[in-house]
Amino acid sequence: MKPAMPRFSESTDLYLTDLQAAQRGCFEKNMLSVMSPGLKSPPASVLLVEDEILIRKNLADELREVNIRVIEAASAAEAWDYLQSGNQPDLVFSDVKMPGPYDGLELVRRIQLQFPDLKIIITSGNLGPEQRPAGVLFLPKPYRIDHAVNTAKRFLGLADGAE
Amino acid sequence: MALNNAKPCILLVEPDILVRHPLAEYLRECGFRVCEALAAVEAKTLLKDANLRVDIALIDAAGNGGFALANWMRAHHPNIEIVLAGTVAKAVEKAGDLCEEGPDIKKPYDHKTILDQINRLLAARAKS
Repeated sequence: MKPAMPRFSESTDLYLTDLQAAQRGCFEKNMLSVMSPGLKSPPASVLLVEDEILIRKNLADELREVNIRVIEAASAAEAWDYLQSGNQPDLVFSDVKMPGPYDGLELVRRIQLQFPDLKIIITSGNLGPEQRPAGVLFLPKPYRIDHAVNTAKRFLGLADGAE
Repeated sequence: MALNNAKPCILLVEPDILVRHPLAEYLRECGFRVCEALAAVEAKTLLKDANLRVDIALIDAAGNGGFALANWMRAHHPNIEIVLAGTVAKAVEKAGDLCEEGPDIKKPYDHKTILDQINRLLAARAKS
């Protein structure tokens, strides 16, 4: 049975009891973070857009290891769907060449129009300097996973992103 | 970096990011390792090339070769428990031959129902 969510007027003790119950029952994290200002802030989030499943999985695993929340998208269109649904990550980390109706460069163009403050890293093995959009960080492929993780951490302003 | 391979691993095969991501996050918060795949071809790649030890596969039956993937897993990875999810009653009946404890996951997903099903399967596996 789901634990009842506390009302704002309820006592801290009651709230903590409910919080523990919520954690046991995997209650909605977002609700908890809104209602528990004394607890840790939610982790930074990265929308990872990569069609190569093994690259995506390895990078996602390593980002999660450093407490970054990762949303995995296999195409630019899927990433755009996610953004259009009202979700906004702290960073978009996107490949350029991907299958689907449009590629990573078009995704960047759309993001910069609609979400101009959203940080973006793009990665590619064959994108010349003149093709790279302004205002984004470029990471050449192939990259080492630890280098990509540190780049993302630095860009997010997380403390130990230095290599 | 070492990943926590002691956690039970769920392979979640679901084409819709707006369905897949919240369910994957929910299961991670419940203590599982979750590998996400958009479609059967990605799931097969993970199983063949990523050396994954998957305990349970939760597969969207309707799209992207879900049934074929379940059959392939039965043949190549018989130790993986399979949970098929779907919206079409006929497809759910068909799934009875492929998944454990009957095809009782219907879409739209109820996260708690899925969690209960996973825990039942893991408990049964631990007993056997």
